[in-house]
Formats: sequence, structure tokens, C-alpha cells
Amino acid sequence: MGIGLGILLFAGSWLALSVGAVNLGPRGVWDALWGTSEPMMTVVVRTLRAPRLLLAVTTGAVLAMAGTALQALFRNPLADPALIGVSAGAAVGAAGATVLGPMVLAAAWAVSAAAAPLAAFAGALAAAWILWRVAAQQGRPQVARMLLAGIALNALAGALVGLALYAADNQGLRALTGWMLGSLAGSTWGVVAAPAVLSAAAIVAFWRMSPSLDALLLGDSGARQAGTDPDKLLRQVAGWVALGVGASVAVTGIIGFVGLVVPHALRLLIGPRHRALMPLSGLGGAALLVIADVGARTLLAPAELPVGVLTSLVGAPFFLVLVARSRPGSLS
Amino acid sequence: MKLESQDVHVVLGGTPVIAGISAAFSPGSLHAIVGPNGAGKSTFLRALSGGVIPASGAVLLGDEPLSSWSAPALAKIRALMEQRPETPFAMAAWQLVALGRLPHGDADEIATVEQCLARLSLSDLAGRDVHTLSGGEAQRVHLARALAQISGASGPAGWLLLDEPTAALDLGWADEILSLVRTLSEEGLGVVVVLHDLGLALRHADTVMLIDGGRAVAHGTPEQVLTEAQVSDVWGVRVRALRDEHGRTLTLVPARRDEQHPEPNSSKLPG
Repeated sequence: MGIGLGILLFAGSWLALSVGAVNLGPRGVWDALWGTSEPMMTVVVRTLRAPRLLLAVTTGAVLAMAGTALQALFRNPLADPALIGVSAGAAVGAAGATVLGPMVLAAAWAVSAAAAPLAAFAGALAAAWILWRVAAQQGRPQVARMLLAGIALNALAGALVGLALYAADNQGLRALTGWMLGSLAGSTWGVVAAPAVLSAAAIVAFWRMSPSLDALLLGDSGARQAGTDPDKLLRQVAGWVALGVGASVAVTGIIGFVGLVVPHALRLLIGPRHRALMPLSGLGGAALLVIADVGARTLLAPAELPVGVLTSLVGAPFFLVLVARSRPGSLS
Repeated sequence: MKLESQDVHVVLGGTPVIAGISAAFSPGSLHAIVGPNGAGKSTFLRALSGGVIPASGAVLLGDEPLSSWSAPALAKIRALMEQRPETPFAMAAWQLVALGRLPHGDADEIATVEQCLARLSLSDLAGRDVHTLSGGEAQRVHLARALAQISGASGPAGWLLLDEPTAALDLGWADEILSLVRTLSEEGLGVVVVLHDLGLALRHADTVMLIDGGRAVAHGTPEQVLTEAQVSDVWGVRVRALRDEHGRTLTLVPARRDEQHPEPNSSKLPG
């Protein structure tokens, strides 16, 4: 299973580096990476395709692993990073920056390409902070309260984004709609570096949480009996989701269904043990997003599809089939 | 390693549930806790496990208060099987039992899991999804998980705390499980088990603690504690002892309806 997903990710990555406006063969990718091909090919692969591939790998992995952790935490296969409002918070930040920013700060703001991602990241962190404040009111943090707060935050963020869309001019409207559909376009090393590092840290953190998440399979009190503090785990998961997912979606926009489908499908195949499920989710999420992004770049070339549309387009029917074919009782 | 409660008081949601229980439990014995519904049996068992923190008083394991044990160290030497254990996701029986090995890391997981499954005659069900098992089978799987949690290199050691492990079992399996637990205690394990079936307590337990209203009303050998008078008084229903040909009590059952005198204890009748 792990080997299969590894090969899939490797093949997808090689494909991502080789196809595009200029098609390179497998051999061509190798040459371009080592700088032994034409200089233009080297530039294309090294400065355009490689950073984009890195962003796809880290974002796909962190979305799927965050989904795995949240599903364990909520003891519910429906949980994903979007559910707790982190992505919605990022959307509010992005909306504020792309629509209201230019009105308030005029040209100075608009020229700064980093404004929207930074505002989106701030929005994600703010959403996580509000979520945490509400969940941890009156003593111990509570999962049910966190879930309800997430639903409320999603509604609030939806309303704020709606307001921004209403107020936006044509250019802002296009920019914001593009962000909400999710895209890896425009990835340069400068844009990709910060989210890649934060996501990588989150990936390591989620992986190291696997034994504690396994203890949570025994329920709250069972986890305590097995020597794991569920409250501490809740804090860690919430924090790393905010940092890792927040940093990624700030750059890529909303990418749906990766965090929901990947852990769910793998759990049906290999069972709920996180020692195996967590790293495989990371591999699966990365492979899925890399391959989806190849599709996004090539299906309507020279135009580009938003990759978030593609992941939902493929993910949702696949999920429906999974749910329809699952044995009774195996989803709860 | 001795397990001891010193004047333990537990308050849950503002309501006092345990009102000062002191008792010492020695390893190598099977200790039963009995009492009416809502008496505080499960809460006391959870306090013994460290899952519920006493409002005052302390639980001592090996002369050290539970609060000074680290969670991972404690997890290796005492396991609690709850009345209604959670299993949020579908998983195979062996996977659930393997979760008991979490505090130990990965070493000899498979061997221990197989041993524990075999001890509870579950080897044939190892691959079955726990959500498709019968209530009794699931209960045995959870018991196997608890056993795996406290199993060391030389078999299970420490304390096994069981909250009504026979609630979903038929007569034969209930006796079978209690016999197994009894064997484990004779091998040196400490066992505290909450029971509803007084016959099982009389048949298998070394000591019986009778809890009513958050207090230990009596604590001693089964024959001392489970007398007609005491049981009638605490449960508020007139009972008769069934005895074997040597005069030993087999179990206690409610007397016939025409023998019941509801007067002195009617306030304690449930409902």
C-alpha cells in the first residue's frame, strides 16, 4: 500500500515536471534538473514547475493528514479541515485583502503580491483562535463545542466573503473567485517557501501524533487510561491545523475534498490505526493533488482549470461511491 | 502491589457520588464490588483507576498516590474495562486488542495480542469487525484489550479493573469469564470487578464490598457481606438465599411476592 502510493506520487511528480506548454520526456526532466539541457528548459523546470510541485506535495499531504487527525479527534469520518472554519477564516482574510485592501490603501497595497496570502494566513489563525476560545470556555476543551463553533465560523465567514464579493469591483471579483476555487498557479520559490516549511513542520507533527491518535480510538476516557491526555492532543491538532493548513490555503485557496476523501478511503482499506493511516494519508494526499494539478494544467491547455474544482469534481463522485458501497455500520 | 483508597470522596457535576470510602485491596485476589444502581460502584472503580480525580482523599498504588504516577507508567500496570467502551471506527477485533499495546511501544505486539485473544477464545473472531460482533463477543474483545494493556514479558501483571464485564454475557460465558479472571488473580494479578450478579460474586470473589449511597456499607468475605438481611436492606426488596447441600449460599433471589413486606424499605425501591 505504502509502496504503491509512493510510486504513484513519484510518477505523478515526474509527470508534473515534464508536461506543460513545453513537453519534456522523462529523460528531459532529468537533464533539466541537472542543468544539462537547454538553458530554457532548465529555467522552466527549476523555477516554474519544481516550486509548484513542492507546493502540491506539501499542501496535499498536510490537508489529508489534518483531515485524518480531525476525523480521529471528532470520532467522525466527516471531519476535514474546512469543517472547523480554518479555510473559511483564510477566505475572509483573502477577501479583505483583494477587495477592500485596494480601496483603503490604493496602489501601495495592490502591488504587494504577498498581501493576500498574508491576510489569508492571518484570517486562518484568527479563526482557529476564536474556535479555541469558544471550545475551551469553562474549563476543559470540548469536541462538540469545537464542532458547533466551526459551523458558526463557517457561516460567519461565508457572510463576510459574500459582503466582500458584493462590494468588489470586476478585478477584485475575478481575483477572489479564483482564490476560492483553489489554484497552484503563480508558484515561485518566493511564494512557496514559507507555506512549504510550515506544512512540512505540520506533517512531521501529525505523524508523531499517530500513537496518541490511536489511543483516542478507545474514546476520551479510554485514551486517558492508555496514558494519553486528550485535552493536550486537541490543542496540538488545532494548533497544527491552523499553522499547516492555514499557511497552505493562504497561497493555494480552497482545495476541497482532499482532507475528507483521502483519510476516509484509506481507513476503509487498511483500518483506523494511525501508525499506518497517517503516513499513508500524507502520501495519498500529496499524490492526489500532484496528479490533479497536472490535470488542471493540461486538460484545457493553454487555459488552466482551478485545481480545487478538479479535486471536488473527481473527489465527490468517488466519495459517493465509497459511501454507497460501504458495509452497514462501517462508517460509524 | 497494593491498591488502596483512603477516605476517597468524589463529586461529579456538583453532586457528591462517593462519600468517603477507605479500603485496601491486595493483589492475587478477586475483589467484587456490588450495590444497587446509582450507588457509585462505577465511579469508585474509575477513582481506583485514576480516571476520576477524588475531591478529597487519595488512591494509592504500591504506597504511592496515583497523582504521583506518570500516565504512561500507570497505563502499563492497570487497565480499566468500562461498562460501555467506545469504538468510534470500524476495526478488526485484533486491531482493537492491539490498541492495548500502545503504552508499550511496538515490541512483541503480535505475540501478546495473539495470546490475549487465545485466552478469551477469540482467535477465530480475530479478523471480524468489532461492530459486527454480538454484545458478549465484543465484551470479551474489550477484556482481551485490557489484558493486553497490562501484559509484560511474563504475562499480565498489575491491576485489572472491570466494570460489569459479564453484563452482556449469557450464564455460561459469564461464569467462564469470571473463572478466567479468577485464574488470573490466582496467578498474581489484582482484580477489582463491579458485578450485578450476586451469585457470581459468591462463587468467584475473595472479598466483596457492598456500596450504597456512595459509602461502603460492608466489606468482607462474600458469605459475610451477602447475607439475606444486608441485601434485603440495601436493595429494598426482600431476598432469600439459595443454598447448596452444605449450607453454602449459591445466590440471593427476591422472595415470592406474597412474602414481600414492602413497609420498612419501600423508599428504596427503584422507580
